[in-house]
Amino acid sequence: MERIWYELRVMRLWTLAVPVVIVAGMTLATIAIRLFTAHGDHHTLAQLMTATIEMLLPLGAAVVVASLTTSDQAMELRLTLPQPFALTALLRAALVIAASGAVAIVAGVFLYHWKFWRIPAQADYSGVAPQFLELQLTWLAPLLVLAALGFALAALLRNGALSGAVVGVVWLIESFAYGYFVVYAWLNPLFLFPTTLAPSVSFWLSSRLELIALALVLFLLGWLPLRRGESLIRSADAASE
Amino acid sequence: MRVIVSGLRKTYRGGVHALNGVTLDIPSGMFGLLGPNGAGKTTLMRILAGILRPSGGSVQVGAFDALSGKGQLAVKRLLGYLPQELGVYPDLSAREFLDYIALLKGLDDRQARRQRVDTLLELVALSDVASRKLKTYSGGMKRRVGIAQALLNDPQLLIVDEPTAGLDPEERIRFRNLLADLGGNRVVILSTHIVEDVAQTCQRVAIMKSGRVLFQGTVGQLTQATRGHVWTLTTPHVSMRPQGDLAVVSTIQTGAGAQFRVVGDMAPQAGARLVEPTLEDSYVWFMRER
Amino acid sequence: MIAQNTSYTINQWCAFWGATRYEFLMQVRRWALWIGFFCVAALTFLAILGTKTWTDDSHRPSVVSAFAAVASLVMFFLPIAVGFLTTDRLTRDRKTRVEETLNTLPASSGARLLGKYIGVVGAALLPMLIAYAAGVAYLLAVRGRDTLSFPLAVGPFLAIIVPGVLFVAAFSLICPLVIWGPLYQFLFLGYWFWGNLIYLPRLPTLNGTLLTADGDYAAVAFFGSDSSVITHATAAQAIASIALLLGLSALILLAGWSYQRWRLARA
Repeated sequence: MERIWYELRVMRLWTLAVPVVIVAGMTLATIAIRLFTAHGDHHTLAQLMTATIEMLLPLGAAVVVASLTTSDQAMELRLTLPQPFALTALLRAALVIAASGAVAIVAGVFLYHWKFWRIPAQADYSGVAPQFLELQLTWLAPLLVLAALGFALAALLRNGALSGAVVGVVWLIESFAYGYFVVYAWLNPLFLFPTTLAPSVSFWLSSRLELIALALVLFLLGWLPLRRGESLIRSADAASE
Repeated sequence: MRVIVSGLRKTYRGGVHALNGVTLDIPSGMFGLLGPNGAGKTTLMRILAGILRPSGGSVQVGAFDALSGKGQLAVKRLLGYLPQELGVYPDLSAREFLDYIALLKGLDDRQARRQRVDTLLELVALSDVASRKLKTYSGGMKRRVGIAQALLNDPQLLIVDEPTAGLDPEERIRFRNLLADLGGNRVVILSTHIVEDVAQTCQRVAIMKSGRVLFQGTVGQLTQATRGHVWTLTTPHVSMRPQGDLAVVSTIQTGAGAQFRVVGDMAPQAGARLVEPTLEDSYVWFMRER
Repeated sequence: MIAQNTSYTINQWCAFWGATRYEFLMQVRRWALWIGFFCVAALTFLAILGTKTWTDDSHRPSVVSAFAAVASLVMFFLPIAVGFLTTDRLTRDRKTRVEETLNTLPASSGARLLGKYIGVVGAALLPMLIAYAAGVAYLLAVRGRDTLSFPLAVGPFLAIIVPGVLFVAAFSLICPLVIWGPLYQFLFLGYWFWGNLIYLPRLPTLNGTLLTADGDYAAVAFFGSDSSVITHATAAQAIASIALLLGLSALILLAGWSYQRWRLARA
């Protein structure tokens, strides 16, 4: 626990506030739309709030993970310690994911209770507890994949801003051009946001599980270059020059 | 405990040869590594610390092959390292920083860890300010935190890279004394381009230039090698510098003219006086020679 | 003795030019810039692969409108790379403590800031120009457009791409002075998606307003291109949109400059 506390301090505690800010901001925006526009129907508001936990929380986590993965103010010292830096980077990514996940669960309880959670066709059955549990895949799969993508890209490219940009464009394509992911069968497993954008798809559950598997592969992909201290020290040197 | 470096080479991407077959034998005690900027000292330190992988050669630290996976981990367990530019976490206090690094060094027993941190804070005279955030520390104070973190695991191999750079004279003396105290039963490698630091603390020394070792031996052997090549001579005016294949080590303006201390192969002119070499003379001699 | 020019005006001009030149060089030498733009361009290409929305230009009335469609495509995702890769340019000076040295120089902080901004914009425009030129070359070489119409490609670049890049670069340079970099990047991405890409009649959005930074107004009004959001626009609206983007860029730069001066005075 002490180790985790120190990691949080090193990452800066307010990093954990990012998911809270996202949910609070989107909740306020949704309330404003409900109160001040003529478009505040339940369907629109539910789509917005589902998008908050399915699309925005994972994006926020991914950008933060990308920025943290290869940056450490005491990198040279860290690389001389018995504890591998790759493990530290993974632990930090896990903390960011856990923070976003915790916020998603808390927000999800309210969304589910007030029926602001869009229910995908495949999870549309009776039984509150199993349904609520299955619905957690809504945010879990994209959160893991996008965070893992940010992690892997940062580890490979050793540049948080660049990795964040690539993650961002992937996110935009998934959001903007989601039709491809519905229509083309080979893209089905890569569809990140079906709950918000196409809840009626028949591959909702399978694609969630495939995405989680993909996330594990991406984390492994990021882990390998992080074991090489030389590339990390070069990027740390470059950052300080 | 002994560190043996054989034929170590390091070529960076882009073809920069940082080390060209470095061979060193470093026994217990203080070992000075002298050389100008760009000599390859930091690269050598980083290879010894397991941060960089060499392009060729071998490194044996005690019983461990420091370049193998297992050996590297074993070396990291008995290593204390103070980098040239110590990065710290600005929002942690010195006590928290040391506690955190101690955790990463594997000091799991909380009680023992805290005791060790307190002892080291006292050793580096930071107990009074240990709860202040590191972003409020001066450069000298950060260096002291740096040496404290290097000592957390009571290392058998202590590597300090340019430890006195940027310190005021009082801090430098304090730091040198601290290092000299530590050099008793462990290997302490002090990398620096400040000759005075080595002269005051080290029994053995190596001189590096352009990725090669020009000399290694005791401080006495180093000055011995320069004997007969150091001169003083006085000229009527400071502008009348000694001519020839000489390096001027120092110039003192006196009422009667200027006194030069020079290093060279022969007496530069009549009136030149042969003097006993210092470590600095020897360093200049080796730098000039090759 | 090096001759020193003590003229205040010349000094500030030199400072501005120096900042512009070296910021431009620093950026274009970053491999991250090229990899970033290449990745984003490749993803854009993948995203539009197989669609007829822009490849089928038979319905477009003129070659210029086809060029404008390419410019609009360049403005789809590539500004994300501009925004992300500009985020660290000012904060980096602080981190590396170069700022401290720069603040002791006679050059005014305003000249330096403006120079840095222009340098960043120049470096961002270079890969965008390459992407745009590739699209134009495709139209000319593969789709059989008249090669003599090549000079007409300058217009869409200046009217559609340049104002948007000036706008994005200004905000991405200044905002990270007060907002944590990754948080700004997140907000910027959200803004680009909400304010320039999606258009849902049920939700309020900047998309389709004069504040749209992706150059839709210029594309429709000046070049007769089509847009999924704006069906008709007048030249006055397009000019107003460009003026608004440039005005906001100037405002945010002014705010950033004032903030820097305030911080310096407070230090």
